[in-house]
Amino acid sequence: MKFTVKQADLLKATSHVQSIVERKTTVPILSNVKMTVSDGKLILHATDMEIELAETIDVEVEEEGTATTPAHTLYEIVKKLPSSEDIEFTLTENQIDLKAGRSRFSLSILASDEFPVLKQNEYTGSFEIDTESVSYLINKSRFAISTEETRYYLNGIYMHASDNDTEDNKVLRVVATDGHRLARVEVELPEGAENLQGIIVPRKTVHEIFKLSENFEGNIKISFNETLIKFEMGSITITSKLIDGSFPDYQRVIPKNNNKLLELEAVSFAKSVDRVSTVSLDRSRAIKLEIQDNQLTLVANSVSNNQAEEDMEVTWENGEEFSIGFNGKYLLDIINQIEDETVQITFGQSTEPAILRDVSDDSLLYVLMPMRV
Amino acid sequence: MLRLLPKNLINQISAGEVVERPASVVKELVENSLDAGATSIHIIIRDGGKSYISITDNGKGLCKDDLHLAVQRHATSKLPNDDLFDINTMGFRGEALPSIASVSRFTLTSKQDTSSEAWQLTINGGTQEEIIPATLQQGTRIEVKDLFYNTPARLKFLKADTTEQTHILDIIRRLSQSFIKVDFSLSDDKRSLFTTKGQQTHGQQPHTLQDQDQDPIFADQELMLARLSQTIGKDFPENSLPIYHKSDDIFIKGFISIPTYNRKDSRQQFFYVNNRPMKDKQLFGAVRRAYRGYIYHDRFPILAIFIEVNNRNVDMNVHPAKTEVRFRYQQQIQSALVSAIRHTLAQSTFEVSTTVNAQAISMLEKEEPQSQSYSQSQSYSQHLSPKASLITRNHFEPMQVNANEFNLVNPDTGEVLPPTSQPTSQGTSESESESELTRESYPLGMAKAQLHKTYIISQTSESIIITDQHSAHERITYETLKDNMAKNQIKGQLLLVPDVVQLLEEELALILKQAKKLEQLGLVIEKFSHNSLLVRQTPALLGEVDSQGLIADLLSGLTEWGDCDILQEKLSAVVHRMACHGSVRAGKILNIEEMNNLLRTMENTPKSAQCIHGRPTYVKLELKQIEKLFGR
Repeated sequence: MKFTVKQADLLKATSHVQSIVERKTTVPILSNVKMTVSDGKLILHATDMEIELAETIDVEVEEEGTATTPAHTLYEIVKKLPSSEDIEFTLTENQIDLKAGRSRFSLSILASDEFPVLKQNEYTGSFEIDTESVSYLINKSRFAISTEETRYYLNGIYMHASDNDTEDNKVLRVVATDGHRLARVEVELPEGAENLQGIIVPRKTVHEIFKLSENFEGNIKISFNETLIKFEMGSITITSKLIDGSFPDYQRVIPKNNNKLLELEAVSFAKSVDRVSTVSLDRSRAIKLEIQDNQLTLVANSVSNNQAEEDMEVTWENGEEFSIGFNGKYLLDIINQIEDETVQITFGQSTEPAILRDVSDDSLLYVLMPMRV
Repeated sequence: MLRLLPKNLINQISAGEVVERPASVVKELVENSLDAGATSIHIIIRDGGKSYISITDNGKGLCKDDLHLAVQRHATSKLPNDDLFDINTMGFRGEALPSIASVSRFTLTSKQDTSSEAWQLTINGGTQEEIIPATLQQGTRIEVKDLFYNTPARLKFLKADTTEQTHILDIIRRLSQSFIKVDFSLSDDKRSLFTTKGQQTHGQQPHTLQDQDQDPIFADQELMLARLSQTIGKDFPENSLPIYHKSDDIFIKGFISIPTYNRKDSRQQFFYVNNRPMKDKQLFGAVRRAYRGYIYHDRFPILAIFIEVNNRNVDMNVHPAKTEVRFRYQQQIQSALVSAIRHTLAQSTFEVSTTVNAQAISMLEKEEPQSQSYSQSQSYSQHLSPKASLITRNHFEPMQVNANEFNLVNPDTGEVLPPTSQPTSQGTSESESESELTRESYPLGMAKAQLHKTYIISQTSESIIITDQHSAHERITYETLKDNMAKNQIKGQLLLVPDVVQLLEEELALILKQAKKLEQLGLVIEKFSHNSLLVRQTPALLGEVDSQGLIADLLSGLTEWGDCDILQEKLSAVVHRMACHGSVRAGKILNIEEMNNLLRTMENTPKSAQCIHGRPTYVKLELKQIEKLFGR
C-alpha cells in the first residue's frame, strides 16, 4: 500500500475519525483507524462497536492495500504538519511510514482483517432531509437527554413520524427527556419517513451528527431499520446502533389543561435567572417564581445562607397570586433554546409540570417539572 | 419403623446445638457458676480446651442427691415459677450438663455450702458411674476431658488450639465485664492467660476523662471502668466516656470510646442485656447510627454497654447459645441507646484519642517505636489488632520533625521567615506579655507556625499541638453547611414520569412505613400495586437519580439496620463534597491570624476533633512526654 494525500483533506477526515474512536479501550484495535486504498480513493473506517464512521477522500494511489494504525496519534501528527505539504504513506512489513516535507514518522499497525465491522442488515426505510432540519432537531432537544445510565432508554433522542398537535400536518418529531424536563421538536415530515415508527438514537451519535452537520451542506440521507440508523452525508457515512428499549409515552406527560399564561421577555428572564442562581452553589439551584399583578419575583437561597431576589415586568393574564419552584439550570437550558423575544409559560398547579414555548415557533415545546421549595 | 431415640443420642443431638466447641463448654459452665452465686471462678484449659477443661467456683454447690438430677436433661433449679418469660438466671434450659456429659469424660465434684461432705460423679460419654466421696473445700468443680472423643465428626471441625483458646478468652472476657464483682482467672498448664484483679486489689484509680471531683453518674462506675481497663486495654479509661439512661422500662449504662479511639471492626463492641452477653445486630446498628458523623463508616468505636429491661419485655429463648435477644419494645431500646450515646458524645466536642497522641510521641522515639503505646494487657494483644494500629500510624508518617523544614511565620506581617530564627522557646514565651499567657489557656493554644504548608503548630502551657489545616477546616465547613441544610427544607425535584420500582410485597410494606420520613428528605414514594411503588419526587441535591438503585439501597439499609440512614448518608455525601471544595487545601500558606481563627472555630465546632472520615484533626504532644524523650 502506497499513496499520497493532501494534508488538509486528511486532517478533516482524521478529525472526524478521532472523535468516534474512544481514547481508552480494552480492545487495542478499537483505537486504530482502518485505511483502505483502491480506485484512487482512501476510505477511513473508525468504530467504537456502537457507531461506525466511513469517510472517503481522494488520494494519489501508487499501490492499493489496507492497514490499521492508531487513530489519535495519526490525527495529532497530521494536525501538526504544515498544510501545504503532501503526505506520503508507505506500508512496510511491520509499520506504516509517513513522509511529509522533512518529517518522517513510523506508526505501528495491527492486522486489518481483525478490524470489527458493524453487522448490517437490510434497511426498512430511508428518506432525505436537509441538513439544517437535522441540526435544528438535535440542537433544540439534546440538552434534555438523560445521562443516568440505568435508564438507558432515555440516553438518546426519540425520533418518529407523527401528526402535529392540530393534526393538520405530518411531522418528523424528536423527543428527549431526563425525567425532569422534556423537549419536543418537530419539522415537516420528509418524503419516505412516513413509516418511521419510533427509534431511539444514542447520545454519542446525536452529538457526532450535530458536529458533522455544522460543516456540511446539502441533504442527508437517513436509512433505518429496527436496530440501525445510517446517515449519509456526502463522502461520510455514519452507521449507529439504536437503543433497544421503549421510550415512555411522552404525550401523556405533556399537560393539556395548563391555563395560567405567563408571557415574558426571554433574554432578560434568562439573565435574571442566571443572576439569582449565583447564590446557590449546590446542584439543586432552586429558584422560586412568585407572580402577582404582572410582576414576577425570582427568589433564590442556598445552604450557605445566601439570598437573591429580582423583580421583572411580565404579562400575567390570570392576575392571581401564584408561586412555583424550578431548578434554575433546567430553566436556563430551556430559555436558551428560545429565539423569539418572548417566551410563553403556561402553568397548572404549582406541583404540576409547566409548558414553555417560543411564541413565534410552534414546532418547539418544552415541559419542565417543578421543584418543591 | 419409628422408634424413640435412646436418651444418650438425644443428649448428643442436643450437644450439637449447645456445645459447639470448647468455648461453649466454658460458657455454659461459667454461667452455671455465676448462677450458683460464685464470687471467684478459676478455669484451667489444656490444648485450647480440647483435652481438658476444669472450672472451679466458690458457689453454693450441690448436695449428693442432686448430682444425679443435675445431669438429667431439662433438669434445672433455675425456673422456680416454671415461667420462661421471667428468667433471672444465666441458664434456664437445663441442657448444658447432660449435653456436655454426653460428648466427653465428665467429672462433677461439689460440696453444698450447708454440708460438710463433697461428692463426685463421673460420666463417660453419657454413661454414669457411682457417686463417690471426694475432697473439695467449697463450691463446685467440673472437669471435662477429651471433648468430642465419641463424636469424631465434631472433633474434626475443631480449629487449632490457639484459635479455640482465643474463643475461650473471648467468652471469659465478655462475662467478666458484666460480673464485675466476680474474680475470674484462666490459665493453661504453663501460664496464666487472663486474671481479673478483684475489687479488693483495684486500689489504683484509673485515669479518666471525667474530672477528678466529678461524681460518678451511675453506681459501680469506677469498678466497671477498672474491669474494662483489664479486659479492653489500659488506655480505654482515658479514651472513654460513661453513658447513662434511665426511663421507666429501660436502664442503660456503660462506657463508649471517643470517636478517634476506634477499630476497623466491631469485635470490641460489647453488649449486655440483663447482664447476658449479646451479639445483636440491632444494637450494633444503633451504635453505628449514634456515631454517624463522628466516625467514618468503616471504623468502629469500642464500647461496653449494659442494658437492663424488665424480663417480661425480653425473650432470651431465641437461640440455644442465648446470644440473640428479642425485645418487646425494639424501637424504644434502640432510640434510648442512640440518644444516650449522642448525649455523651455531644459533650465531648474535641478530644483526640490519647493513643493517637501516644503513637505520635512513640514515632519520635528512636527505639522500639511501638512498645510504649501497646504494651498493655499482653494476653489480649490479638484483640488490639496490630494492623489497625499500623493503619492509624500511617496517617502520621509524614510527621518528621526537621528543623530545616520549619516555615516560621511572622505574626505581624504574615511573612515566612527563614529557618535560622528558631521557634520561641518556653523561656521567651514566659517573658511575653500577660495577654499571651492567658491566650495560651485556649484548649488548642496559640498558633506558632505552619509546617509543610499543611500543619499548624500551636502551643498551650502544657503541650504542643499539631493540626491538619485541611481536615480541620473541612469539618468546620461541613458542620456549617449541614446546620443550614437542616434549617432549610430539603428540596425535592418532581419527576415528569414517576419511576415504577418493582419489589417484593414485604419490601413494599417495609418501605411504605417510612414514606413520611423519606418525604422530609425529599423522596416521595407511593404504593402503585401489590408489588411495585411509584417514585414521584427525588431529592434535588442528588441530581438525576437511579430510583431503582436508591430504593434497593434503602431496603437493604432498612432490613439491616431498621432505618433510612442510607438516604441521609447520600445527602451528607453531597454536602461533604461541597465542604471539601469549600475548605482550605493542604499547601495553602496561612498567616497567624488565619491559623488562630481556625483553632478558635474548631474549639466551638462539634466533632472538630475528627475529620469527616473519622481521622483525628490534631495531635497533642504533652510537654511531659516530650521532656521524657529528652530524658529530663
